[in-house]
Amino acid sequence: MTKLSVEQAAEITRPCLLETMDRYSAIDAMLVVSVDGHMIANHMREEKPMRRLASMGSSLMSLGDTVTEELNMGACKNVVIENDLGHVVFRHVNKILVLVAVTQSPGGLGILLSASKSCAENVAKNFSALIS
Amino acid sequence: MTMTENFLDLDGVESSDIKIVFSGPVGAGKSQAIRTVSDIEVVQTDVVATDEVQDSKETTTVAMDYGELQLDADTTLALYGTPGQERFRFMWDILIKGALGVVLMVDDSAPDPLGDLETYLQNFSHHIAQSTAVVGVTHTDVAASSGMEKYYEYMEQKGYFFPIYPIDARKAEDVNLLLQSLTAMLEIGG
Repeated sequence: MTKLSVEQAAEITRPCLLETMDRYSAIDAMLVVSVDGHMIANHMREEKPMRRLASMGSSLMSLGDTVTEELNMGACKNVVIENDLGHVVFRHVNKILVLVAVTQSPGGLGILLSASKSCAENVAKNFSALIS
Repeated sequence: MTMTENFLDLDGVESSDIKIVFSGPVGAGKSQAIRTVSDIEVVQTDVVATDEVQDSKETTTVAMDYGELQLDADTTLALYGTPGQERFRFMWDILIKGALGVVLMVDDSAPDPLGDLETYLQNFSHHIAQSTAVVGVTHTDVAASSGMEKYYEYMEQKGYFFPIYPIDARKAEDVNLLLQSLTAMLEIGG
């Protein structure tokens, strides 16, 4: 198994987060975290403490996987939290990473889902290229 | 049924389930203990460990474990396991709600098992004061262990009067001993 330092993983990940958020102004924050709850990289329009959210992201993604498995519904694609003031989406990047994306825009869920999907695919591609 | 009898208790739904929470540091055997005694297939949220935890095991719990143990025809123990790492402290706070007892597990082969015990006793002190707890010490056979005496002395010094046992989380009789002690204390009011 190829081992990357958190710094290396952050270098691969950060450009994808910046590019996505440059393109979509409705997205307020994006994080990539390890499946066991460590922050890898993040980008946000307004600085906020995100360490706890990194751990919560791994817990929620894992609960999503567990519920999906319990119901025999294939693989969990997203976990979506709908709030009064926006949406949060969690989705797998690969076996060891989870993407968390936040929007506070009314009606921003569609953009959040499509942008987080393409962003996660880009991060995954960068990791595969490095490992192969 | 009259309307006055037909109400929802907003402080909590009446249930014959007794919620027990297993907590303690990474590698203490919480998930194993629940797997050992559960009557149902345990709900797990294990993921691959990417940090130093992988030196001792491949996966780690990031949200919760859930198992059940039927005590008798009317009573079921609902067994919840917390993640061990402090970064998942928010899950400890979520899972402890409504719990009637806490099983704290400590790995005797860890660098500072008494420090670990202190951390978890402190964290759950408010809840333990209102319910009760037992302590299971694991890996006493693999550590350069100085035995259980240090735990007994520590508990006495700190004024904790909970049962504390050396256990093997893979042995049903050992885990059942913890649960029987806990339920016995619940019956006599802690």
